[in-house]
Amino acid sequence: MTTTNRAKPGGTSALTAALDAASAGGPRRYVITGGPSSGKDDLIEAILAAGIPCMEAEPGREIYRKHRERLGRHLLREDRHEYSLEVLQAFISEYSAHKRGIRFYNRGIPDGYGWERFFGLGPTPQLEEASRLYRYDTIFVLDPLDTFEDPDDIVWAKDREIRRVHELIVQGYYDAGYEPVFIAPDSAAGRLDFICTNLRLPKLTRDR
Amino acid sequence: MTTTTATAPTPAAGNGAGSLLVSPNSVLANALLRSIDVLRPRIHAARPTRIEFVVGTQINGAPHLGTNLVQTAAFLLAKIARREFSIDTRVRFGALDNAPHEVVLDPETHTAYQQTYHHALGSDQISELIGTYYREFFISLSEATGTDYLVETYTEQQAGPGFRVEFLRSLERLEEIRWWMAPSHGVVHVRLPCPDCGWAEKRGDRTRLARLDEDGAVFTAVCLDHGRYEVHVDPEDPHPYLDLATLYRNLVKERALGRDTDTLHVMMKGGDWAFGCQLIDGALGALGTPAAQMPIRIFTPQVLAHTGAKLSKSLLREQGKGVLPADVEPWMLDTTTWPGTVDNYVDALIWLVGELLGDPKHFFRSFTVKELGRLMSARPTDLDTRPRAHEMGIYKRYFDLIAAGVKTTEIRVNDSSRQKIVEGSLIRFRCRNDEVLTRVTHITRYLSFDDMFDHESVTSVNPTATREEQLANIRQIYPPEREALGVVAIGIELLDPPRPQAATVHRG
Repeated sequence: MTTTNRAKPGGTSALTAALDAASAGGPRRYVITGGPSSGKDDLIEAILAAGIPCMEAEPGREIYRKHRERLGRHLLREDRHEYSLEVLQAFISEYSAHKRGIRFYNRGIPDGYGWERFFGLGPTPQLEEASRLYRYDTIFVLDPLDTFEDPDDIVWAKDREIRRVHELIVQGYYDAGYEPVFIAPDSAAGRLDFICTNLRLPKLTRDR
Repeated sequence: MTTTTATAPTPAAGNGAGSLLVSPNSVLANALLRSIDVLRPRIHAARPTRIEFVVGTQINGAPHLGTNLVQTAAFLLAKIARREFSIDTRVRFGALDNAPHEVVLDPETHTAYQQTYHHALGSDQISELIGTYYREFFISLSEATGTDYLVETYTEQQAGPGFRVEFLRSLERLEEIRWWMAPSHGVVHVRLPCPDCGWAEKRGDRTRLARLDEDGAVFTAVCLDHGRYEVHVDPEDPHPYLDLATLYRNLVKERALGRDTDTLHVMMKGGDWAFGCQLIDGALGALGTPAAQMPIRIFTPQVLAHTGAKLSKSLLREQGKGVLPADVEPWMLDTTTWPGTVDNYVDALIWLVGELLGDPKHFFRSFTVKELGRLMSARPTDLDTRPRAHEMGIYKRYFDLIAAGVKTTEIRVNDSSRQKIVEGSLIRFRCRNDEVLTRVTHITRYLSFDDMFDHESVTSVNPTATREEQLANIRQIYPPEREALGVVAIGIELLDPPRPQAATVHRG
């Protein structure tokens, strides 16, 4: 359950002014990523609540559901190729549709490296090319909110998988030539403040 | 002068030469003469009619020595507290059936989902599981300590209106408690399993509190199979299932129990909990919990590997059994492998915990598993052959009359511990380091002491005092509310050879 500080939609006047000023310039694209249980959903919610342009849902989730309905089961390793290309196309469309000002992305194109590797697959040529062509300005990686060290024997191995997903995603960004900015565990509001400071935007909590 | 019923205080064991145990002093131990005194200030302030020792345990595996040590301490302290404070006591065993039985990763997002033991196995199998690991053990502990107990699963606890009301109250103050509940990031995990399949997000990643008002709370969450769902938490409805993470669960439980002005709930916890309880206390403070409702806790000795790490499943899982000395006996890690009967194991544990409780310096400290092994091997050799008996402490003058075979009726109030005594039961009367074994020849319950003396022989209770003297003295010991429990007259016959009667005649 989340307990984020809910900002008023539209954010503060200082932030709105900064966003307006940015929208006069070229596109600036920032990725929020991280493994499961890193607090990404909470942060995206806080970004949206602050009135900062942001991609709400990961495109992958909707596409996954579509494939699952078609196949009548969860996706297996052999289904990944077709699914990945469709997800990549959605990311490219999202990327290309943004023309001016600031926009946050709920995961980015290089996330594909990590997910492919998790399933024992190599990156597709399409992913390699897209990573080269469509570049983001800053990558924010959310550190996990948990140590994934459940005291229970049965669940321990599963929790370790979560850690592995996270590490593979991070590695994917390095492989794509990025130097991610890591965001330590904190409340969603605290993390958004950290991001604003990093991007030289007015802090939400201080302005309020 | 008393007639029969009062108990002589047990002298605290010291650190003298030849002692089985040597323990350094500590701030807490220095303040106490007896371990049970740690409860005394609260008993004086609250004047409860009952004390309940609350001990919660995971049921997802065979218990190790540390687990059984906490439970034994609960039963033994219940027995000691009953004697010390003349207040009825019992043990409440909380079976944590919300432990994760299985975890899967959502194939779409790799978010972890979990199913509790309750959801995976159902109530009947949970009951079987409790039976496998604990039923015989508790029955034996209960018999050996004369202490009643009740078993409550977490599932039953969370379904109760008291728990739910307290949870809803905590939601109103979530901003004030969330950093106490999750100091690293302030994100509190609440799991509300999908009503269709019982699976829940392990870390509540997409669980949201959508509404909170006088009708309760509405949460939204996402199931890995059934998509988005909504649940309504209402105090009067035992559904939906409310699976709170450890700290939050303890906060809600302790707040709810703290409101009971009739029963004082004493939380029994392994010593490692002392650190975590700082956070719960911070949250209780943030919620404005009155001092009289703050939980009272007793931390039991931690059982440690030789490195100082707590003996736990996670330690053994990560480090393997190599983390323990080679001579650690298998039963210490899985107590169901004890090479003997359950009664035999319980008697040994009661002896061990009794030794620890004998001096606060010994009880409020930690022990390596090897040291506990040494102590266990030093237990009296006749422990295994001694018959199981109810134990009663008694003053020397009455002890002597029983040992001489001239006192053949013992009088007590009819509290829960006496209700188990039947004709043929054995009673071991204890006085200081001496004891005498008797068998119950008959047992009769009366409404009052007057009623009892109308039917029982006055001289069989105390051959040295008149009925009036005895009545006056008994009523100095037992206030009317204790007498209101009823009176039990226990006919006894001496099983040990009679000892010569002391020359001094006591009256009253």
